[in-house]
Amino acid sequence: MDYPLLHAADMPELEVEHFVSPTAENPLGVRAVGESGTIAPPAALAAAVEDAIGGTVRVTRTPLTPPYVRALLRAAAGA
Amino acid sequence: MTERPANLPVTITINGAVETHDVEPRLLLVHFIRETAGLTGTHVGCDTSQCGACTVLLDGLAVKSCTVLAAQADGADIVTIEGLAKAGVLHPIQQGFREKHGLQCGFCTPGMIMAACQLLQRHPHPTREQIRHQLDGNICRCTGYHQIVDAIAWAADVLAKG
Repeated sequence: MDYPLLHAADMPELEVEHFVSPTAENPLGVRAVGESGTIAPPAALAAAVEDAIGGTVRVTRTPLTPPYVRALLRAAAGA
Repeated sequence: MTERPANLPVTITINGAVETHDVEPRLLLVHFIRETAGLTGTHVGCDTSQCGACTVLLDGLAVKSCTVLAAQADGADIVTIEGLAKAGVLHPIQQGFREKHGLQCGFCTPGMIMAACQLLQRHPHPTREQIRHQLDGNICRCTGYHQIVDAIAWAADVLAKG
């Protein structure tokens, strides 16, 4: 149960912004849009933790459980 | 071969209609609503009280109807999602979900709306935190809850203006 399903109170308020990047491949500049992939967020989270602990230790997997993060901190302290 | 317990006569009022049936003692309220009374707007998501898709109002209180026996609801007054719209006009909470895009697949929506009904009865002017707190027993896997909170806040404003 490292990652239980989010409930409403677990979810922060969101601000949605549009990133506008029209394509030159058609007259309207429109792109197809589907559901976004879920590959990027875990990598972004891992990169954020990596940055937060000083950038000296690579974070190469998820989930970022408390024991794993503690181990990373110890490795960072020893690096 | 164990003898099965005798069926029980149960009378439950659902959205103003009186339903009297002989049911198995183990029959869950949600199955009474869906299968005996034929009102399938109330959903069964998990059957284990976790997801809230089966939420209905029982004598005005939001309950997970998969956690109540039909026999326990004998004599009760139930409101389900089908009981909210009047004469083809959506209830403000239903309209709020429409206006604010408060759903994607819609499976959790009936339970979300019934939970919101109780919230707005208790707190006509809820904060966003109060809305989120009230929805803590209802799981949505599509929306991230943001627009659900928007929808209920929208409905609270509409109801406040009368």
